[in-house]
Amino acid sequence: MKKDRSLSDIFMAGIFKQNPTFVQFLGLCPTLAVTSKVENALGMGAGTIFVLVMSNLIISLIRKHVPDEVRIPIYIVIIASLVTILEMFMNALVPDLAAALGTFLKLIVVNCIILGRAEAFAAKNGPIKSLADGFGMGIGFTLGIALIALFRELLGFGSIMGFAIIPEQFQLSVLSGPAGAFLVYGILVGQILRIQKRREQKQLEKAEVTI
Amino acid sequence: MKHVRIVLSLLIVVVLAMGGIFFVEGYTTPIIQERLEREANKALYEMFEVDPENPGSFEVSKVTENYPEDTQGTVSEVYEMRDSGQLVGVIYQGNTAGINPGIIFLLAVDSETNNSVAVSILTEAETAGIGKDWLAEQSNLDKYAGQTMEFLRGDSVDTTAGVTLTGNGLNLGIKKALNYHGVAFLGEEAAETPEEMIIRLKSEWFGGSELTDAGSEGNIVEIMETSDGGVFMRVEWTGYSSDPSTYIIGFKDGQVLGFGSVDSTETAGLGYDLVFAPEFAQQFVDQNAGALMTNGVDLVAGSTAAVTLAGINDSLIESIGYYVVEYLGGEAPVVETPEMMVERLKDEWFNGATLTDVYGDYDYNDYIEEVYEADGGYFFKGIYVGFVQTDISSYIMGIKDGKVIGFASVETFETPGIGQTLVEHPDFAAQFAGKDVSSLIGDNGVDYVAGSTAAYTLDGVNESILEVLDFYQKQILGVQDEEAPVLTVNDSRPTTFEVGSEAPNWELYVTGTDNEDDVVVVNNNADTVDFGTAGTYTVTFTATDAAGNEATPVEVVIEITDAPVEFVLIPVPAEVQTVLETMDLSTTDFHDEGITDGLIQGIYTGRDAEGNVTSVFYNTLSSNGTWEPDNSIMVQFTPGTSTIEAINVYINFASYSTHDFAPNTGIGENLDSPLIAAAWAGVDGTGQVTESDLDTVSGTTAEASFPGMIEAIEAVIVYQIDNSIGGAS
Repeated sequence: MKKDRSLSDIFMAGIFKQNPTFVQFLGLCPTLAVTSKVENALGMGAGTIFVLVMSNLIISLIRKHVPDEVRIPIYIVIIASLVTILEMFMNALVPDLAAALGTFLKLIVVNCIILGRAEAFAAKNGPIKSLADGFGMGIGFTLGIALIALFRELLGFGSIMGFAIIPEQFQLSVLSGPAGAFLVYGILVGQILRIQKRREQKQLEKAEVTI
Repeated sequence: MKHVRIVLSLLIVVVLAMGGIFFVEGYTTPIIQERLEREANKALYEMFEVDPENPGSFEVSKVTENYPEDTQGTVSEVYEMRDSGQLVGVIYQGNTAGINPGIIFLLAVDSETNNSVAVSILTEAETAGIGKDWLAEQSNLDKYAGQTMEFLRGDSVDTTAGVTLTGNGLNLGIKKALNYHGVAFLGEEAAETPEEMIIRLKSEWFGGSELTDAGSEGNIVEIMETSDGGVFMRVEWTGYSSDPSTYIIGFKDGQVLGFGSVDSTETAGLGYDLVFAPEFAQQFVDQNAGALMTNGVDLVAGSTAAVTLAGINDSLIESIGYYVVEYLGGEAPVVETPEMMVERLKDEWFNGATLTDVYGDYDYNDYIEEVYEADGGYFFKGIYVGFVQTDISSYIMGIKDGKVIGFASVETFETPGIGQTLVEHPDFAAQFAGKDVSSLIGDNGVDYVAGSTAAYTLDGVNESILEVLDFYQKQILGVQDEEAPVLTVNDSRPTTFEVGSEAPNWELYVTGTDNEDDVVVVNNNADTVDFGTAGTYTVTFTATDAAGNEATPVEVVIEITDAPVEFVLIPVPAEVQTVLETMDLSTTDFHDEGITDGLIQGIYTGRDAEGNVTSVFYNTLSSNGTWEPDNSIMVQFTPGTSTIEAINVYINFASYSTHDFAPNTGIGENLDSPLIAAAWAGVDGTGQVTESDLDTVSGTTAEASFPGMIEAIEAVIVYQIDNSIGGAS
C-alpha cells in the first residue's frame, strides 16, 4: 500500500527532490530571463509563490466540481486572474519591481510550473496538501532562480543586491547577458546532477553492504 | 445536462474571476492614481525649480476646466503655477507617441515670454535601452528648456540618431501642446479640425455641388458623388504603423481634383510629416487618374519615409483604380505578376524557344535557383540578400554567347524607395544588356544608378550576379583558372638579426595575390632559421591558389649574426600614413614597429629628424560586431607612457573618412570606460596609468555604447603599460 506523504515531505519535495528549476526543468523562460539580478529573481519568485499557492488552493477546493472536459480552461482562467491581481498589486505597491519584471510578470500565466502543479497535484489532493505543495514548489523555484541570479550578478555585474563587491576588470560581463544565463544554468544543473548521482551511488553501495 | 454543467462551471469561474479582478482594481487604482498624481505634482514644482516639499510662495493648481478642450486630442490637463498669487507659468499635460503610444509629458511654459521652461516625462512605454533611456536622460529634456514657441513649433530640437522615433514623437507632442497654448492662452485662431478641413476641401473641389452618398468599397470607407461626375472618397490606409491613417481624394473628368491627409498614425517626423506636407498633396492636383495610379507619387524634399510612401501608393492603386473602373468605364489595369514577367522575358530573350532545365548537369550553387538552356543561351534565376537579411530576393538573367541578354528583378524584399528602387530601376537592368560576361566580372559587377545610395543592396546583388557569371564561365563554358598567384617580397622587413632574437612575423615578409582568390595563403619554411646560431638561412615562400596553380616560390635570405644589429626603421604603409596625417600631427616621419597582437593591427611611431620617438600610435579593430570590420581605431600615446593623447575612430577604413568622434573631447561621455578615462586624464597625478592604477579603477562600462571599441582601446592601454612603446630602451 502506498504510504501517505506527510506535509513536510510534500513541502520539502518542491525544494529539493522535485525542484522545478534544477530537477523538473520547468519555468525556464523566467529562469533565464529575470536572473540577471538577485532582486529581480526574488521579486519574480515571490510573485510565482503567490500565484502558485493561490491557484493550488482554489483548484484543490473546486476540484470535485470541475467537469473534466473543461478543467484546463478553468485552471487557466483562475491562473490568469491571479496573475492579473498580482500585477495590479505590484503596480500599486512595488511599481519599480513591476517595471523591472516587465513582460515576465504577465508571463507567469504561462509558467508551466503553475499549470503543471494544478494538473498534477492540486487537482488530485486536498487544500492543505496543495498549499504545502504550492509553497514548496514556489520556494524551490525562488531558490533556484535566486541561486542562478546570485552567480550572474556577482560575477557578471560584480555586485549583490546592488552592493559592489568585485572590481570591474575582474567581472565576466558575458554572464550578465542571455548567454550567461544558459552558461550558469548549465553549470549549476551539471553540479546538481553530479551530487545527485554521487548520493545515489552511495545509497546503492550502502544497500549492497546491507544485503 | 452534461453540457449545462460545463457551461455553468465556466460561467461561474469567469464571473468569480472578474469579480475578484474588479475588487482588486477598486483597491489598487486609487493607490496607483495617487502615486501618479504625487509624481506629477512633484514634477510640476520641480519644472519651475521649486522644492515640492517647501514650495514657499509658489502654488500649483489644476485649471483644466477653465481652458477649452484641445481639438487635437493632445492636451488633457492644464495647471497654473503662481508665485504669491501672480501667474508665472502654465503647464500642459499631453500625450504623444514615440515608437509606442503612451508618452505622457508635462510642458511648462513661461506665461510672460511664452518660452518653454521645462519638459518632464510622467509615463512612457518606449523601448528599453533606446527610447526609454533617451527620455530618462535629463540632458535630452533640457534641450527643450528656454526655447521659444516659434522654434519648438518649427524645426524643434535635433533628435538623437537611433532614437528618432521617440525624439520626433516628443517633438510633435510639444508642438501640439504649444499650438494649444497659442489658442487657449494667447488667443490665436484655432487650427482647422479634420472635419472642418473635409468640409472646406469638398467645397473647393466641387464648388458647392451637392454630394450624395455612394456607399463604400474595401478600404474606401466613404464614397460620395455629384450629379456632374465629381467623386469624393475617404480612404483608410496603412504604412509603417499598423493602425490605419485616413486621406480624402476628389476626382472629376478623369482628373484628380485634390488630396488631403485627414489623420495619420505614421511616425512623427517621418511618415506623419510626409503625408501632411503641402508639397505632398500638391503632387495630386490636376493629375490624370490613370497615370497617377501607375506612377504613384514621390517623396517630397527632405523626406525619407519610404515605407509610408509605399503604403499610400498601394492605397492609391485601390482608390484611383476604383474610380477608373466604376466611373470612367475603364478596365482595371493589368498588373504584371512576377511569374508573368519571367515568362514574358523568357520569350523575349530566347525568341520563344523551349527552355530545358539543365541545372542537374552542373554543380549546385547557393546563389542560383534555376538554370535553363535554349539554343545555346542560358536562363538563370539568382537569389540574394541585401539590406534585408531575413528574406531572400530574386532576379533573372539571360546569357548567350558570352554576353548578357538581359536582367530583371523578380521579387525584392529590399527597402522600398531605396534598395527596391535600385534593383527595379530600368537603368540598373540596362547596365547588363549586351555586356560581356568577362567584362562584368572584371568590373566586379555593376554600379549604382543615378540617385541611388543602396550600398547593401548593391553589394548583395553584385555578389550573387558574380556567382552566376562565374558559374556560366567555369561550369558552362568550361573556362578554368590557369593563372598562378603572385608572391611579392616586402623589402622593408629586416633580414639581419642578432643571435637570440625572437622570430619576426613572417606573414609581413611576403604577400600573395591571385586573379580569382581573395585570400592567398602563403606558406614558408621559416622554422629552419635557428635564431640561436649565427649563419645565413634562406626562407622559401610558396603559395597555391584554389584551382591548384602554384606561385613561383620566392626566397628571403636571413642572416643571424653575433654582431650588434642596427635598428632598421620601416616606413608605414601609404594608407596608414594617410590616416595618421589626418590626426594633424607635426611629425610626418612615421614608422611601422611591425607588431600585431590580438586586436592590435599595428603599432606605429612618429620620429623626429634625429630618430627620437615623438609619438606612438596603435591601430586596433573593435572586438565585436558592433563595428563593421573595416573600421579602425587609432590611439595615440605619449611615447613610453600610457597617457592617451588622442583617439581617432575611422569608419570604413578603406575610404579613410574620419568620423567626427573625439579627438580630445567628449571622452568621458562617449567612451564611458573608467580605464580609458583614467588613461586619458592620468590618475593619481602621475599623468599616466600604471598597472596598480588598473586595480583602483572601478565603475561600469557603457555596455550599450560600443563595448567592442572600448574593449579594443582597453587592450591597447594594457599593451602600452606592459611594453612602454616609445620609451627609452
